[in-house]
Amino acid sequence: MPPSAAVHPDDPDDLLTGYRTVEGIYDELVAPEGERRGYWQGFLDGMRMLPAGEVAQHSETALRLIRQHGVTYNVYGDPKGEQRPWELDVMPLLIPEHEWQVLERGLKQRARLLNAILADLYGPQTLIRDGVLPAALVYANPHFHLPCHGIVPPYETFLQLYAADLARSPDGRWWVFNDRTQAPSGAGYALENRVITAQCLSDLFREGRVRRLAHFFQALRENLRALSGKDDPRIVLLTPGPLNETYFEHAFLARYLGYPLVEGADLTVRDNRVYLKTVGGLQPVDVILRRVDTEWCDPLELRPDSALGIAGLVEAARAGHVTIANALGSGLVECTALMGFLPGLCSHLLGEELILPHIATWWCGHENAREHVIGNLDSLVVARTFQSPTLVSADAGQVLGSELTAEQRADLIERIRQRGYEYVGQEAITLSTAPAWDNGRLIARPMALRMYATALGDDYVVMPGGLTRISSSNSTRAVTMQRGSGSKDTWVLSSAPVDSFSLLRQEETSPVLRRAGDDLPSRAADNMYWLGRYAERTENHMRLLRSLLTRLAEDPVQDSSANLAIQKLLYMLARPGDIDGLMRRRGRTLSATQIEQRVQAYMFDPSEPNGIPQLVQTVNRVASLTRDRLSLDAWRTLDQLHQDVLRQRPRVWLDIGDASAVLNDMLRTMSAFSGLGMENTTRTQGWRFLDMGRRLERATTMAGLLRGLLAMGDPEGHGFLDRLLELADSFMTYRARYVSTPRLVPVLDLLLVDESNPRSVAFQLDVLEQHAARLPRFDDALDRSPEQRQILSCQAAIRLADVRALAKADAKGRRVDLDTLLARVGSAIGDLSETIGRHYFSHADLGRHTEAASLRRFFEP
Amino acid sequence: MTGAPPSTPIRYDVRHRTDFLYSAPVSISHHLLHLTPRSTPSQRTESWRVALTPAPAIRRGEVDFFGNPVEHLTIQDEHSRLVVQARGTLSVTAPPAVDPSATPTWETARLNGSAVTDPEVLSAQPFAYDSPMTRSSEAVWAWARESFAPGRPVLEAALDLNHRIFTEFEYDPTATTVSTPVGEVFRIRRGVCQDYAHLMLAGLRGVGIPARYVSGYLLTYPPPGGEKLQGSDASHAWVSIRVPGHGWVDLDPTNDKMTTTEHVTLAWGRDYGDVSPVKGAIVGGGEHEVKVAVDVVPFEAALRAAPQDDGPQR
Repeated sequence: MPPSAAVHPDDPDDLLTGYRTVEGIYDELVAPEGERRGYWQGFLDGMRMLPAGEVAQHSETALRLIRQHGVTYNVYGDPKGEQRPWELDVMPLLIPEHEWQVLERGLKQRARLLNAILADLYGPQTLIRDGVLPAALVYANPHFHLPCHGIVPPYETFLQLYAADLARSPDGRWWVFNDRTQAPSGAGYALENRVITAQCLSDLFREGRVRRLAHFFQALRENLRALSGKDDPRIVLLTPGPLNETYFEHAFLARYLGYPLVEGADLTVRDNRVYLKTVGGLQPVDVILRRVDTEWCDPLELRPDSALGIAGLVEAARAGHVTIANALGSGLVECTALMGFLPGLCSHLLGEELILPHIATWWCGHENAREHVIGNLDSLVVARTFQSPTLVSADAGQVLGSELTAEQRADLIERIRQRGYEYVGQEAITLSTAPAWDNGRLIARPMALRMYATALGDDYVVMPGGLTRISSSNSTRAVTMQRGSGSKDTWVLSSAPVDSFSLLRQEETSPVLRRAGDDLPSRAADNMYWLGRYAERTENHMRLLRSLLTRLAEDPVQDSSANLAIQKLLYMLARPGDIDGLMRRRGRTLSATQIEQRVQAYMFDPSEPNGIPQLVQTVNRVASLTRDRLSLDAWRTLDQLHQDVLRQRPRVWLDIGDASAVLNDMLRTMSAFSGLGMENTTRTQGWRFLDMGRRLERATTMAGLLRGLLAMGDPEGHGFLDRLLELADSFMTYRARYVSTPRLVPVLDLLLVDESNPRSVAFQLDVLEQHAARLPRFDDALDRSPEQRQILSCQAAIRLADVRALAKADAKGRRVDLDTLLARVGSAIGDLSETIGRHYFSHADLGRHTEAASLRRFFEP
Repeated sequence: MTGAPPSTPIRYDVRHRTDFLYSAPVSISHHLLHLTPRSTPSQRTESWRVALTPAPAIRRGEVDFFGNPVEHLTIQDEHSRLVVQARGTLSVTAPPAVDPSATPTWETARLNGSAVTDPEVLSAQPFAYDSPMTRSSEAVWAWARESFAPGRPVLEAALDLNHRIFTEFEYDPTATTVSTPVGEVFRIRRGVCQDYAHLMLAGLRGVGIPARYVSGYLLTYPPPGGEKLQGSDASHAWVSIRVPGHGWVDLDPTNDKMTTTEHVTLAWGRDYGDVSPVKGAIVGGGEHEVKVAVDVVPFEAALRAAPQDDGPQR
């Protein structure tokens, strides 16, 4: 920062104490003479009225809300694949009404202009033929996709959503430095910033006459609906998946707008129409709001190595059977070199003067411009013509001429001379500064504003706000926003009272009532089902480990009967089912040290396949794949557990007390997740698959436990019945019914056949039967589905069983009938899982498992 | 166009059969075919037909951005085998002879990126810049520039590059796949016709000369004294460069020559990706195996005699 800086003001209690602006740089809050800009007055007064401690707390509140809402972004190339919390500064950027009006008109014009350019270049190409635009900007541009040429979207609107990055120069004018036309990101983050900031500064927000954002999103929704030409179209939001840097936003927007969030694999093209693969069959899709870049959208006609797209999508768009927003190929006009041609194009195409200026740009494909760039290299930024920066990462292949060594400089000049059309020179932009909180005081930070427009009818609607990003560095010469920079809410001030309409609370005036439908994507159903299974498996393992720890604490390991119980439980962790057979094959008993090592490994070793760390990891992974379908609380609960588990490190010695405490905490968290699943989740098909997974896993585990501990020997004598009741959380029920110490027959009754005990095998089957009756059917048959038949045969076997007979052991101490029954139940449940998978997770219409149905491509050699 | 009067047309019966065999059933497959020859100044199609088994549910023919006939189709019946058969009759005349030393300098043949309105120059624009499969590196451009001494006639320089590719690279059908990048081909110095063509395109475009990828067939000859085997001809690829005043001139780097009546043109584009004869995306299918058989049979019996050299490569 230059040394000359102004300090404002003198009053030590003032908010602005120590606020330094930079000479020659525009500050949003303070004018060069040291006066605050008038339109901030109301806001600053409001801030001063707040109780003394409150201002300082806002940043913490915002941080807490960001964590609670789970607002994150992913960083590409991050080896840990980590999700980073979104960074928000609660001090909003204010934009006065008169400035806003110019920005709004300018943005609308720019959107119309870029749209007209796209319509020409993907159509008659008169701009090239008449020499208005050099052909190289189209044909050398990798974002010009030939297969999209000739496709005319409805109303010739290519850009349904448009964004521009703006900076304010020292003279106070706003300049555009980036156009975003491919699949503009950040509108969802802008909305999230608003939600959090409005919550932190609720009084100021209410009284500040701040324009609301909801109308913009309503316009977006109305526009997409109108494009379909239907009253109640099926619109989906297409995402590249959870690894994308702005996946949080995709999920957030999908939920906010009420569209299913889908990946390429969820869609299929038949008869040149796009369908969503759901548990209820193929559902036609009318509009795709895409966050996948064009080149990845169709492995047949675009990039053949894309696994994110839908084969046949381009032809479906060509046939006019699906509308894609933005139209495929729209990334073409993001190219910065185009900026230099915009004033001419604006008068040529629209007959208007360009309203918003852009940073001075010289495309080196033109000889004069090329010589200008080479001659003024020191004062310019040179970039590759056809590379675009992303929302949060910095590297856009730009270099500042003055920072080059003599050798690099000569090399760059040579390259520009050889292939000028690949380079563009731009004046280095100077960002304005805006106040941001830093350790309880306000400091001036460089900032840029991203604004959004959505098509509606033959014009555009501009979001009255936007995503303000602030740089963490002090340099106002920021080429792009650097990693680690933050963001702000953007308040557009209104002189008239504002309408407080919100989409978050309110539906459209005459909403079409919807209940849990059959349009759950098969892939999402698959994930929910496995989330249920893994969550239950994790909980079961935790219970088993806790039971083990209790044994270790109570009984000396040398005691042979206690040792047997412990060893059985240990084997159960590895493989429930035929424990006696397994133990016989292994042959030897474990020493006390070995037992402790095994318990340690199950609890803390990340490389143990059946251990808690891996299970929790799996639960978290599956949950993240279906995160948009979990309640915020449920997601947070699982995330918390994951964090807790990651923190654990193997101990040198197993401290039983310490380990029990850790396990109890984890179990509490898991129970909270189960509770949330029961209480806070709508009974959608998604929930149904989650619960089926859970029930199925619980039934398998319980059958396995009963088989492992009761199929032979003297369970009463070895204390196995206490273990079982403890593992099944059924001690209290047993005590309420029987005064005696646990006996085999009543325990078997309680845990196997009692349909009123929520831990019994029979109870799980009963719930599964109810779920199965509500699953979508692919035939019109009125009789039972294959799932129902399988469940019923299992139920019948258990209901018909005579518990007393099952409890009788033969001369060798074996309970053959019990063993046979439980083995049969176990394998029947495995078959049921297969059937469910075949019917609902693969695609019914294709009759194949999802993995086998993965997309493949080939070329003729 | 200048040069000698057109030669006598040679008529060919062409058959091109492609079999796809899948280890698991395919539930749905989408295809794009560039299997019907386009008309050119030296080539005329008399009859042509493309048949598919199983029959596609959706089939639509059109002309693509470059004027090539193309077919879009979807097969929605479950199948484990797909057979695509193209067959027809066409006649080819020798391209007009051009004296390489009499062509304009390569510098005047370059496109510099500026806006132009001359339709002939405009039509060359799509072929002047890197396309997805010809993106390469400074090393490739520098290597290609060795053929382009200042003031050298453009066709002479291009033929020199053609010759250098033929001599410096080894024809090796096992070294590359359909998606091997040019940079890799350049590094290992091996490949097939597609790689030779992409490398040549990368070099020509690197110095600024528009050039296109041509997909087609090549007539081959049986070994001396041997019988010509059925299906032994092949899909072939070469390049075409724009020579100001002479239009497009075709060069075959795989065989170190300009094209003759032995070359049958199917389609042209920026690279293989634009004109791949049978492109497809399938759901299911497991592993797959592809068999291709091409026959280019001249009607004139006189051509059965084998030439004296080793015969062409493809």
